[in-house]
Order: sequence, then C-alpha cells, then structure tokens
Amino acid sequence: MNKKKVSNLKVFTNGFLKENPVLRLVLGTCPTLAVTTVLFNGIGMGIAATFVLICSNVVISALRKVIPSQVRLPCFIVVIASFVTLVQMLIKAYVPALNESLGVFLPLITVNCIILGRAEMFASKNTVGASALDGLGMGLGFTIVITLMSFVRELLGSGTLTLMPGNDALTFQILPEAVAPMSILALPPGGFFVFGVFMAIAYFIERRRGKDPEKEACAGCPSAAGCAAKGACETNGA
Amino acid sequence: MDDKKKIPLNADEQALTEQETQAVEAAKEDAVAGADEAPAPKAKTGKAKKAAEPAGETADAPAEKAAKESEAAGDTQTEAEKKTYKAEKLPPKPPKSKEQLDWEAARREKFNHTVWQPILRPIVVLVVICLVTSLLLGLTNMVTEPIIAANTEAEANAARQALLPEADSFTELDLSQEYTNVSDIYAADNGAGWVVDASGKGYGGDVPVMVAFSPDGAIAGVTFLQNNETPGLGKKLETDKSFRAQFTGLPAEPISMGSIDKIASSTISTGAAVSAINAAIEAFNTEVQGASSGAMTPEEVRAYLLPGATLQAIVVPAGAEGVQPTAWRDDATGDIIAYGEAQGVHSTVVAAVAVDPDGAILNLWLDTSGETEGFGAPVQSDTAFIESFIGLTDPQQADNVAGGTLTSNAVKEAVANVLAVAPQLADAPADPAGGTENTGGDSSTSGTQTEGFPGGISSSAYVPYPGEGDTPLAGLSVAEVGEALLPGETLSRIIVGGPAGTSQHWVSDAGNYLIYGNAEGIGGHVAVAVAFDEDGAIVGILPDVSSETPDIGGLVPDDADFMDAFIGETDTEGIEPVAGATVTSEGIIDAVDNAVRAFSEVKNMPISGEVLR
Repeated sequence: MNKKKVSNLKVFTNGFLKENPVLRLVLGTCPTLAVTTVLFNGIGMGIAATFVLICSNVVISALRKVIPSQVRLPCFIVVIASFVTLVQMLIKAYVPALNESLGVFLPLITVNCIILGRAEMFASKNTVGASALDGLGMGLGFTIVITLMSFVRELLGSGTLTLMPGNDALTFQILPEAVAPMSILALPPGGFFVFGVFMAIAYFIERRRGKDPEKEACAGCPSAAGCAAKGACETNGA
Repeated sequence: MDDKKKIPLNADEQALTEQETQAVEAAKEDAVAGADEAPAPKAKTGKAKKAAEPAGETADAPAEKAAKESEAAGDTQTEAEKKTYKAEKLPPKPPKSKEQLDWEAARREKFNHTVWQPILRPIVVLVVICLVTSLLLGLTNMVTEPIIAANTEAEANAARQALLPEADSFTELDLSQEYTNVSDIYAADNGAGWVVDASGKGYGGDVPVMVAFSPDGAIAGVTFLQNNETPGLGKKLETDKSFRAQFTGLPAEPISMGSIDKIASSTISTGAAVSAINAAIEAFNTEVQGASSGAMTPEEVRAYLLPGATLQAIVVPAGAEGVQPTAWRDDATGDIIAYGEAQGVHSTVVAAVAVDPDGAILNLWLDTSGETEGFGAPVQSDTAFIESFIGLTDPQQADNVAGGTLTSNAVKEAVANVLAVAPQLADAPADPAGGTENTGGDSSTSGTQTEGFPGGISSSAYVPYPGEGDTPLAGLSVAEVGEALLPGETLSRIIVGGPAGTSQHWVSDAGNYLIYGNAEGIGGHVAVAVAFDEDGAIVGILPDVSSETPDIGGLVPDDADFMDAFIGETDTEGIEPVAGATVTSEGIIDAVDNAVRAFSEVKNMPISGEVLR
C-alpha cells in the first residue's frame, strides 16, 4: 500500500513528463521505435494502447487482493492478452474500418511493456479509481510522445504527413517533392536518433525543474514508485 | 485464530459466529483426529469418555456450548438442517479442551502457511483467471467469428469488384495443383474476367497482390494489398498509382524486372511485386488459359527448348539407357535435344534436354505430372530448379526441390542419361522417319510459345552473358577491351573457361593480366573486365551493365567515386555500393571479386592459347 496519499491530479499528470513511460521510465521502447514512421501510426498506436492500458489497469486493480504475488505476472499477462484479444475480436466484427487502420498495433499491445509495467508498479497497489486515472495519464503521455516522434520522423524522413493512409485528402506533402527527404529518419536507425533527442529534451526539462536523478536520488527518479531497490541509491549517493 | 487468513469453507459456516465456527470446525477436525487416534470402531463411546475427562476441569464449559449450539440451531432453517446432519454423524457434540482447540487452530494455521498460501492458492487463482478469460474469449469468438468471416469475404469481394468493375459476383476456381505464391483464382460469374490472389517475398514478409485478367487474357488491373514493407520506401507499392498502372494492359506473359519502372530505392519490394504478378500470370495461364489449349505439343516443347533452330531428327544409338529412341539435332550449331527418362516415385519422369556440343545444358523441359500431387508433381513448374541446371555439365550440381527430393533426383538421373549419350548423338545418323523441322522464331518470341505449357516455365532459352565466349563486353571485343585498359600491350590467352564467375583470362607481354568477372545484377549478368598488374592490384575496370536498368544501374559506370575505389586495390573489401543502385553495384563488386579470386589461380598458369596483336 502507498504510504503517502498521492492526489488524483498528480496521479493523472505524472505520466505526462515526470514519469513519462517512454522518455523517463523507458518502457514500451519497441513499439515506440517500430511504428513511429508515419504520423497516423503514432496516433493509432497511442490511442489503442491508452484504451487497453486503462481497462487492464482497472481489471488488475480490482483483482489486486485476489492475485497471489507468486503468480502475479502470469495473471497480469493473461488478463492483458485476453483483453487485447477480446477488443480485437469486437473491433474486427463491428468496426472493421478501425481494425484495418489499427490492425497491426492491436496484437502488439499485449507485449507493450508499459501496460505490464503499470500493472506491476501501480494498479496492483492502488485503488480502481486511481489506477484508471494512472492508465489515462500514462496512455496520454505515451500517445503524445509517439505522435510527436512520428511527426518528426515522417516529416523529415518522407517529407509527408499522413493522417489516414490510402486517403489522398488526408495525406499531405509538406516538403516539396524536389527536396530529397532524409530517408534514414524513416528507417530504424532514425528511430533511435529521434528517440535519443526526445529523451535528452525530457531529461533537460526535468533537470530545470530540479528533478535531477543524479542529485536527488530516489526523489528525482521516475521509477521510484516501482523500484525494488528503493533507497539503495540514496545510501550509495551519500 | 487469524481471521484474515481463515479458509472460507462454505457459506453456511461464515454465517456462524466466531465461537460457533470454532466449535463446528473443531468437531470436524475431531472426527478426523478421532479416526486417526482412537480405535475406530468405538469412536462414539471413545469420544464420550474423552469428553468426560476434561469435563472435570472446566465443568461449566460443555454445558454452555451445548446451550449456545442449540440456540444457534434454532436460528435459521439451514443451520438447523446442518446441525441435524452433523448430529447424525457426531452426536453428542464433544466438548473441547483449550489445548485441543489451540492444537487444531495451529494445525489449520500450519496448513494455511505451508500448503494453501504458497502452493494451492496461486494455482487455484491462476487457473480460475485462465478459465474465466478463456470462457469470455470463447463466447466472444462464437459471436464475432461469423461476422468477421462475412466482413473479410465482403472486403475481398469489394477489392475484386474494384479491380473488375464489370463483374457482378465471383466464384472460386478449383486449382489443378498447388502454387507456392498463388492462393486463389476467382472467375467473374458474368465472364468479365478473372482475379488471381498472389504474393511475393518482400523486405518485410509477403507482399500480397491481386491481379485481374480480362477475357482476352491481358492484365486488367493490379492492386497491392496491405504489406509490411518499409514505410516511405517499399510500402509505397500500396499507394503508388503510376507503378500499378504500368501493368494494366500487359499480355499474360512473364514480366521482366528491366521492363518496368521501379519504385526508387525499393528494388526488393518491387521485385516481390513483380514476382507475385508473374506467379499470378503463370497460374492464370495454367489454370485458365491452359485449360482450353491443353498441354504443349512435342513441337512446342522443342521450340521452347531451342528457339530459332532447324532440327533434324536423329536415331539414338541402341544401348543408350534411359533415353527415348528419337532425338533432334541442329546441324548448324551442333545443339542436341534428347528425351531422358528415369523412374520417379509413381511414374516415369521425362526430361527433354537441350545440350550444346560441349555437353553443357542449354535448356530443360520436364514432365513430372505423374508424381505425388503437391510434392513431386510441381517440380516441373519450379523455375528456380529448372534454371539451376542451365550451363551445367553435371546435373548432380543442380538444386533440389524441397518436398520433392525423390522426384528431383529422378529428374537429375534422366538428365544424366541424356548427357551420357550426348557425345554419340553429335554424329548419329538422321532418322528418315523423323524428318526435319524449323522451330521458327527467335528467343524474343519464345514467350508466346510457352503459353499453355503445363509446367508454365517462364524462363527463356539460355543467353550468353557479356564477355562469355566470343560475346563482346560493353560492345567491345577482347582486343578492344585490352587496348582500353592495358594500352599498347600484347595479350596472350591463358585458359578457356576457367574458374567460376570468370570468362576471359589473358596475360600481357608487360606482365599485366586481364580477367573478365561476372555476377548477378538486377536484370541478368553484370560482366566486368578487370586489368591487374603482376602483383594482383587492380589497374583498371570496364563494366558491362547492358542488362541493368538504364537510368539507375546503367549509370553506375559513370560514378567516378565508385569506379575509382577499385583502382590499386587487391580485393573488393570496403567498397561501398552506389546508393539507389545497390543491386547493380553489388553485382559489379561481386564480378570484380570473382576476377580477383581467379587471378591468384590463373597467375601461375602457362600461356595456352591464342595471341592478340
């Protein structure tokens, strides 16, 4: 149980920057690098993951007293995977157009470690309401970051911005065709470049706000809440 | 007793007060304990006696308990029933000593801590969660599966409809054989045409494509379905209209990579697209066109094997095993066609082989239709397998078809039978009954002649690559190439043939060497004339990229950085291909590499051939 009562607003806003899942907790790196080549992918993956994150947080939080700690990870994975499968089947059946757009991302969400990470770090220790808020906040933080990343990568890597693939009206050629785009940004190495720059920016802002992990130890560490070796850094630092 | 960790045994008991629960559970435990400890048959009396002993210590306790129990029993119907049930088994209610109660509580505690919490509870919880979720998924699937299937079908139908707007509805054809890259063929019910679903191996998995054919056999349209190619590069296949449009109207003949405008920097994805479309064309020709025109006639087979030849029927010498008695010879070139036979798994496999006078295989046609469906039978249409024979003098060096090993071996045996007898056929007598025939046409028209051929082989006859034999390289003879790379030097031939991947090997009077290397490019062979000094350092190269795309690979020799990178090197390590023309430049690098490797082998050989200048 949490010793300090954290305000709901704080729970909600934590995911934006302080504990941003991608830039500060460094979770969900694989989907972040893999799908952020086209703007639409970033938005789609973000929304789909947010949805599943909220739902799995709620379910796991509700079951937190029933699930024994020895088997919590298999239980979380079963819950998350079935949830994703369930949602996918429903979307396929009743909203096929959405499935076509999100098709690739839906099954990928199961292995998005943000969801497992939040289940472990937050939902399994907090109330249903707080977990739902945490899911929403973390999901939005994730969505914002991968949307921005895909914006940068598509704009510089392909010279376009795609809001809906295959729909010419929603695909914009931003850089003139004559300008050769930096294709490397659309390729895997470019993902790492942009990811690194984004992480550096997030770190810079946090440091400006006086949250330097190197100086503040656990107080400035985004992973403190779920850290198994909590306190170890403080002793080492002193 | 630890309230939190108490095991909920059943609902009725939870309704009881703490004390009563203890009593009931104690009674249960007692029954077990009694069975264990006391002599079994006289349990009742044994208990009564036991009860009597502690009664002396706390005289009031049993009486109080009994009173409370009877009260509780009167409270509700269910409890009354329960008590009655218990009363039958364990009357009268035995009074408990403090030690006994403590011991029982400790026992439960121990069970809770050693068995239930660490072992059973996790299993039970996980199993229950899995069962519940499986049930939910199963139910959802039951509801959604038919809807999803209908959606998918409707979607595919809509895609086919979009390709063939005149069609009303589609029926799936039963395919006569299994195709590796073609899944289905649909015929429009009103005769507006056909749609073939095919796929090719791309950069990120299969590249699926739908190819529509009009009733006159031409391609009516092509649609690329969703693929996983690199976004911004190969993925453009899905959206690039001009790329798609160039296929419309083409006849149902194999399309070569060189004849289409590729998507820039996406050679592999484009290749997957073209091979998928070619697979669709092949299946369409076999299934739809072939159904009407039937199998290839023997004349067509020979025309396919040696286009443009004048063939004389000849008698195969008696005693040649596994070769049909009549063969054909082109007296002008000395090329021979003979039919080899060998026992396959179920049938006799026939291989019609065209052989040049040196005993190298020029072309091959197979009939393995009697072999196992899906394993040996498709061997005859496996283009890669057939092409692996071309140029060989020993059929054992050819590939095998996965899943059709026995049939592949039979094919090799049949080919070997022909090669064994080929030298004798060079001057075998003409067969008066067979006469002569002109296979007509040349290699450029051989494509149309393969139409309707059961195997659907799309390869054309063997074309020598630049620099092979007397074929010029970059339009230049060896003497002219020598003048360009090693001006003023006299060349002497070292060997004919030579190490793999090379064709010409010359040494100059100044001690320099000229070797032609070759390797696969994008549209065929890339050949490079490489001049070495006596230490094996490259002094000049002259590539022939005539097989390559004119505006892409064809420009590689103009790239001074790339060309100069070779000069002075003794190997090709670290030479970077030209961006945007990767395949061609890698072909050139490989060709130079072949020449470099041949150099060390050729260097110490004596001069054995003609002298130029």
